[in-house]
Amino acid sequence: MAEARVVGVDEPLAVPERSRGFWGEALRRLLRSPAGVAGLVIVVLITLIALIGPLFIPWPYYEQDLEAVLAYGGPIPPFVDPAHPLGTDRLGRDQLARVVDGAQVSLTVALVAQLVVVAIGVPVGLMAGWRGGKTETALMRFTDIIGTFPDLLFIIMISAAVVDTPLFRLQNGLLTTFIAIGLISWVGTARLVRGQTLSLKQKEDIEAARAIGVPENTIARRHILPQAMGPITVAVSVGIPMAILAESTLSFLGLGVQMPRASWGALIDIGIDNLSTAPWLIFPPMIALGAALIGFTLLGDGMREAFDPRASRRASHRLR
Amino acid sequence: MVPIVLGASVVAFTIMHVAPGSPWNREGRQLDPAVVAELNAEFGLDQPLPIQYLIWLGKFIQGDLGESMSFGGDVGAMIIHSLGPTLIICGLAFGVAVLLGVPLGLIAAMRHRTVVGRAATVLSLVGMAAPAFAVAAFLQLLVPPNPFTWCPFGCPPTLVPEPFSEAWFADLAKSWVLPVIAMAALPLAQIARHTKASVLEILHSDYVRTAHSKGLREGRIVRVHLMRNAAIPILTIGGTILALLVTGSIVVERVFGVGGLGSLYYESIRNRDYNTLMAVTVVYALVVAVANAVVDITYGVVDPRIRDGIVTAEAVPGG
Repeated sequence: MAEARVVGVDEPLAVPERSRGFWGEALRRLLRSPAGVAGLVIVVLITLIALIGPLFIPWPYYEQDLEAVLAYGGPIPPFVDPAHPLGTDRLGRDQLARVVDGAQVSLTVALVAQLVVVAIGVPVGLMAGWRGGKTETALMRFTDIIGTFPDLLFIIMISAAVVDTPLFRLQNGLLTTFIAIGLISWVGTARLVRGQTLSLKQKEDIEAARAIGVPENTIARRHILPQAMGPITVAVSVGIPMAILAESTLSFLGLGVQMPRASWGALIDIGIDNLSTAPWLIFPPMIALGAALIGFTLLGDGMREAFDPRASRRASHRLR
Repeated sequence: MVPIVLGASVVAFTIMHVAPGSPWNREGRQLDPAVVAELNAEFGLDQPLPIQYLIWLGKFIQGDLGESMSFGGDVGAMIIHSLGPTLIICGLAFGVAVLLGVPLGLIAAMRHRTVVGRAATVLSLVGMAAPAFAVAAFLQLLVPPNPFTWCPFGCPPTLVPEPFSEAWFADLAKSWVLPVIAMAALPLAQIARHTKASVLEILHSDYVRTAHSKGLREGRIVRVHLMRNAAIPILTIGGTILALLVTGSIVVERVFGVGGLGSLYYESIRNRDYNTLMAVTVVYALVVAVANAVVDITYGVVDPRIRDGIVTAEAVPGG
C-alpha cells in the first residue's frame, strides 16, 4: 500500500507535472480532433497563399495583359499560356492573381468583421449581464429587434444604402462591407456573453471579489471577461465562415468589394456573365470559396470541441 | 409577432432614410429641384422623419402599402404578384433540405464508423461549401441558354412550350428545379450536420442503450427514442435555415431571372423605393414571425415537457 502523504497547511498542493494552462489545454484538444486539424491545415494554407502568393505571381491582380489576350484572340483558357496558369478574363487579368487577391479580401473582411463583432458584442453582452435591470432590458430588446430578422437582409440593406458614397469608394468597398457585417452580426455574441456573465455572476470567486470590495467594473473586466473567453473564441471562429459567406454574397450582388479588387463572390458573378465565352473562369473562385468555407467550418467544429468540456467528453464517449 | 414587424420596419426605415440618395436622383440623374419638391410633397417626403414613419404605419394598418416610387403602381399588388414564385421555390427548397438532410445526418451518426457513414459526413461537409449563388452559377453551366419564362400562375398561350418537348424540360429546369437545388444545398448540409451532432449525443444515452438491450428493433429505436429526442436540437436551427432560404432567394432569383420577392427587395433598395422596401421588409418579418411560432408549436408537439412548461427548449439535453 502506498504511503499516505500528509499535506501541510502551508505546503502547496501538488501541481500537475505540466500545467499547460487554459489556452495550452485548448490547443492540445484542438490538435487532437481530426476536424480541427483538417480545418487548421486548410486555413493556414489559404492564409499563406493570401499572404505570400502575390510574391510569386508576376501579375498584380489589376494588371491587364492585353497583348496576350489580343494575340490569343480572346480570354486565355487555363494551362495554355504558361504565364497565366489559370488563364485570364476578357480584359487580360490573370485569374490566378485575382483568386489570390480574393483570398486576401475574404480573410481581411472576415477577420475585421469579427473584430467589429467582438468590439460591439462583448461590451453589450457584458454590460447587460452584469448590470442587469433596466440596462439589460433595454440592450436585450435592441438585440432582439436586430436578431430576429435574417442577418443578411440588414447587411444587404446597409451595403446598398452606402453603395456609391465617398466612404464606400475609400477602400473599394472593403471598409463598408466589414462595417455592415460587423454592425449586424454582433447580436449572437452579445447574447452569448450575457448568458455567460449571468452564470459566472453566481460563482464563488465573483462573490469573493465583491465581498472584499473590488470595484464592480474591475470585477467585470478582470474576473468575468477572462472566464468567458473560451465561448467567445468559439463564437468568433464559428462567425468567420458566416462572414465570408456574407462578404461573397454581397460582392456577388455587386454591393461588396468593388473593382479592381477581386472578391470570390464578384469573380463568380463575372464567371456567370462569361459562361458562354469563358466557362473556365467560374471554377477557381468557386473552389477557393468552397475550400475556405469548409476549412473554417471544420476549424469552428474543432474549436467547439476544444473549448467545450461537454463536447470533449462526448468525443471520448465515441471512442469507446 | 407585432414587435418583430414593428422593429424590422423601424430599422429598415431608419437605414434607408439615413442613407444618402432619394428615389428621384439615382444613377446620377438630376431632376429639376421644383419637380423634386413636388414629388416629395406628393409622397410626403417633405415631412420630418418620425412623422413620415407614423404616416406610413397608419396607412399600413389600414392595409394601404402606398405607391411604388420607382416602378409605379400599387405596392400591395406588386407584393402579391411576386410572393407566389418566392414562396414556391423557398417551400420546395425547404422540403428538399429537410427530407434529404435529416436522413443524411441520421446515417452519418448511426453508421459513423462505416464507409457509408463517413461518406454521409463528407457529403454534408461538401454542402457547407455550396452557398446558393455559387451553386446557381454552376448550374447555369448545365442548361443551354434559352428564352426563359417564369409564370407560376399561367403563361400566355404563346409562351407555353409543348409539354414534354425539349423547350418544356429546359423551362421546367430553369424555373423550378435548378433554383430549388441551388437554394437547398446549404440548408441541407446544415440540417444534416446538426442532425448528426444531436443524434450522436443521444446515441450514447442510457435510455437508448436500454432500448437496445431490451432487444427492440432498430427501426423502432430510431423512430421513438432517437428522432423524437433529436428533433428539439434540430428544430433550434429553424431560424438559421429560414435566413439561408430568404437570402438564397435574393441571389437565386437574380441568377435565374425569377421575378419574386427577393428581386423586389434588391431592386427597391437600389432604387431607394421606400414604399416597396418597407412592404417587402414587413412581409419578411411576418414570415420570420410565423416561422418562429411554427417552431414553438412544433417544440410542444414533439416534446410534451415543453408544452406543459416543465422545461424550455434550450434546457433539453443536446439543445
